[in-house]
Amino acid sequence: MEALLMFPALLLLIFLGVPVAFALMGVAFVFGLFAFGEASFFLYTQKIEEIAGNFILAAVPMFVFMGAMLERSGIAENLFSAVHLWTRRLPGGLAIGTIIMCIIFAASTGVVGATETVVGLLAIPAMMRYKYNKSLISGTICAGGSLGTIIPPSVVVVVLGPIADVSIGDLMVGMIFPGLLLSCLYILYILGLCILKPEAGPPRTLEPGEVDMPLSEKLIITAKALVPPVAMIFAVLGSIMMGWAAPTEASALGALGAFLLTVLYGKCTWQTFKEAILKTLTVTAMIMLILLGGSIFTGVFVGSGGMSIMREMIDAVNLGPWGLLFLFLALVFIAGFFLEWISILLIFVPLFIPFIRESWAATGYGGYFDPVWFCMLILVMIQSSYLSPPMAPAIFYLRGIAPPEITLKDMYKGVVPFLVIQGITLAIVMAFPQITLWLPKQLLGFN
Amino acid sequence: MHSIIRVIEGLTTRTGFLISLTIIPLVLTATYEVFARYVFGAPTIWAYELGCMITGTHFLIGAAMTLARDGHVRIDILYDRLSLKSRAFVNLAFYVVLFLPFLALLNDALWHYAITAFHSGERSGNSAWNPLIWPFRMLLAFGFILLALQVIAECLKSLLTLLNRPYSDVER
Repeated sequence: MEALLMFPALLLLIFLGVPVAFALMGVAFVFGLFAFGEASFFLYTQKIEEIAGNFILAAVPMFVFMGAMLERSGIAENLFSAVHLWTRRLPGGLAIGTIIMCIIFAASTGVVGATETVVGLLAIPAMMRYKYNKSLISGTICAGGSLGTIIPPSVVVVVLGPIADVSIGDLMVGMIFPGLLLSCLYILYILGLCILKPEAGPPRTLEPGEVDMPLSEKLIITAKALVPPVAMIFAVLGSIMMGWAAPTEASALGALGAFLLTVLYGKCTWQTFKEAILKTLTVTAMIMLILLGGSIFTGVFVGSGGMSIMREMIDAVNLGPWGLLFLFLALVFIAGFFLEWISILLIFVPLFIPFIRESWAATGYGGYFDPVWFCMLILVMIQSSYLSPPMAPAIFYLRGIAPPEITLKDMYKGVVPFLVIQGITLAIVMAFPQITLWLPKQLLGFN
Repeated sequence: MHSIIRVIEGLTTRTGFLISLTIIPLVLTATYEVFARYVFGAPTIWAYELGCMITGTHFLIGAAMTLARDGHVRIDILYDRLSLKSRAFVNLAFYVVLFLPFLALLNDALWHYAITAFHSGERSGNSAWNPLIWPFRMLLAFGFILLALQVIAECLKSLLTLLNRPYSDVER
């Protein structure tokens, strides 16, 4: 039973404010010493070498670097004006344009913070000028900014794949439709809201002296602005989908591409480059150390019989596969209020995935309970965790870039409708596993 | 105490900067491998394992510098509301009671692991390249030694805060 005490001990340290990675290692240390004595350190050296020598995880620093370079490259500015050429006449046009921009940006980078700050810095002043409702502004930026989780490529997937023992290629391709579904629902919501309440997001009128440009000119500007992001999307997603490159290699192509774009746009100084590689180092070390801590923690938990105790408890309540699934998702949702994504993945997914695989076998390997499908549900939940306060990274990023007129209350109010949309998307993806599973089957031929 | 902290932080930030440069060979080897395979039709035998080793070295040696910049994520719901002294107490207590003993034993284990591999001439056995494994293990051990040093620096900083003589780094 002692193994179960690892969780309260961990939560105590985490909520006291001890760095998550160190808290995981510290708790594992005490319980490991108690259960196996000095021999536990043999387990730790093995785990360290395993994580440090994992080629899949090499995608983490490269995706982070790609985001850090793209955010400094200046492609966002051109894209922003091009997208708004098309959306500004719609009700809520600036907000819709912002979401579209977030989709394109999320598809060209793998990290979340980069999308939100870059797009937010451009879009917030524009929407404030046109007197958009402040909660709508906040919700749009937070929700759009965190699309990076579920629109491939995504660093979250690189971490999730190995923990769940699922191919990253399958996940990256499988998330395309769920990601697009979610973003379409965002757009529909904004459009609907602004048709019903036009004052929330008034359509942009032409400024005095401004003439509408001819269609051909619009097309040229758009094409020019779209070339760099489309090239990035092709380099990363394209090379995975065509089977040219493994996800790690694709991340390297993306990193190189982002670097070249920054040079082409004349934004690559030594200072920019230095900032980008230092940011890459600290963000990567932060992510990987939590991964390492999590792997050590789970190793001790499993080794001291924690899994069999979990199994007995779960068998005792006898929920059935669907009951179990809802219990898992509810736990992840609640955890999302307090923990950030890596901790959620590392603490919960290793515990859940054996049960999901069992249910998958029990239901005859149909679409339901396919581990890829399960990972997709987890991804939607992870994205919600970005939005759900008090521990809402999306809101933290927004506070860093928003003008003082937008209050914390506006932000909290703003994310609520988008959290409801997350719930709707979760239900749709859950009810129709083919949304996730069809495309990888066609392209990568897994069964 | 101030000068000890300054020396340790100087060491971690300088090695941190050096190691952050390894992202360049990492990107280049992985890209080269794709071109070697599709354009030259001749995949390398070394790119895969070299990529693994660079990644591990990159983040483990970078861990100390990340700590120096307080970059290891904390759940700050409560922590944000604590006074500076309470924060210093939480950090100091955790580091001294749990984390430093763990790092000490871990460094001992990692070091033996590397030395044993050096004496036996063990190879990685992960790919056709099959390099000697001890240099990589030495680097991993080095990363954790740096981390332990930085943790000691953090303890001293917390101690100074508790003694009303907070450390401020003029250099940065």
